[in-house]
Amino acid sequence: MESDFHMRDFYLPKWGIWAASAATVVAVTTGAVVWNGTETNGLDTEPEVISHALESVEFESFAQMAVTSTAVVRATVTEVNPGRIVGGDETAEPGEESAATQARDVTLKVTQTFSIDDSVEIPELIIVEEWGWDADGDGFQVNNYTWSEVGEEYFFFLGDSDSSDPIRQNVISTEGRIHINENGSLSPSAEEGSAVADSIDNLDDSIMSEYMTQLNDISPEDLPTPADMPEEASPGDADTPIQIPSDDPSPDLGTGDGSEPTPYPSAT
Amino acid sequence: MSQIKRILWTVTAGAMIAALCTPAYAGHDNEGTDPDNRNQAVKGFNLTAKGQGAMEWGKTQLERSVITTSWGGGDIEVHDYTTSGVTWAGQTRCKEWNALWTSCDVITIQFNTYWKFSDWEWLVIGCHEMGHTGDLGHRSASNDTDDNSCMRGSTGSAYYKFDAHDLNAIAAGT
Repeated sequence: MESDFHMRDFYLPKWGIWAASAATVVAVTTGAVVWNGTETNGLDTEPEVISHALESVEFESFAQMAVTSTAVVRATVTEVNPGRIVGGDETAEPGEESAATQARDVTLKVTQTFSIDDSVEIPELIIVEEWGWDADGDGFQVNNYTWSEVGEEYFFFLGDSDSSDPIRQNVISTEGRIHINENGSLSPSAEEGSAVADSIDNLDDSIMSEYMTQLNDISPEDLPTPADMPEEASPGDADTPIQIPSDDPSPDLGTGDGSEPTPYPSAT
Repeated sequence: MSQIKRILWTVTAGAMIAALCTPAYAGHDNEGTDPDNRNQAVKGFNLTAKGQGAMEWGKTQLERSVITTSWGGGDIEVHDYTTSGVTWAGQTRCKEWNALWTSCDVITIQFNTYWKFSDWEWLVIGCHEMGHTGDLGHRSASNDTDDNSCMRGSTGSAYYKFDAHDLNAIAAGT
């Protein structure tokens, strides 16, 4: 009798199978709807992966980033559109998939411009690029620089632009954007633990704006030294083989002083 | 078991099965680029001499870890493009996830030949990007106090090799 009791306890009636099937169909359909809802014209509407990037410059603070920038703007995102494609004509071999990437053109309505160079003029509407989509239309963000959202307000630190069109501006690096949250608190695109992120800790939008406004009043010797930005390569620079150092200037690759954490299980 | 409980269990089980079948989307990647195994084939595509050298150096560095590498397609694909308007020197991302979306099957590395980098910096770039394929994240001055890791955030602050901490972290994370 006891075994019979257990048999009955785990018995799944036909209506139960139908109920499970129905629940499965509903959930799969819901999932499919959600999935389709994250794409527009084959391009993801939100980043699917983080692309981990090595920057060519790392700022010591937001203040240093500000004085290295051509201008800092406070702006609201009004529109986002697909932008240029890089690598589209450089597919590796016939039949191989392309590693081409496509930028997002982010249109900004500038409400305030700060610059230590009085001659700098930034139009009221500008476009900055951020990345992006891969060849399959899968969205990716670079480092901690999340995709800018329409209606949201940010400080953008602008670098040298390679475009003659003043509307086209470049963000100075993946550290060069600060999101202004609804309560005025700030969320930097600089990675947690970086010098820039640490320098923004506990600041709010009004203090940031006040600091930027005062940039022109601070004597140059009291301003941070601008960071060295990378130099554009000349044709052929990438065509000479790399010389690997024969003598290792620092053979000790241990953590040495014991101040470094134990191995982290994953990326941070 | 009451009939109501039986219904609840049945529906819950169905929903859980369905959830496993539901496509995953944003948010599964914030733990880094975790390779799907410790045997990684590396292939470069029309690389410049610097890109080729950086890839070879990075592969050599990866060989120092628990990851075994070979030449060939299907795991780590390396490209270099001239990308203006950005200041990054290289980047690494997952191109194709495994069937369960838990780790990465095919990883893309992209070098940027727009900027002029010294040979030392190219070695740093190669080591750094290959480190990301071993699920390493960035390190900062506070957790690389002896400045000997290629996983620092910029070409100027990074060394050209993995340090012991990096190698241990690859073992722990893959």
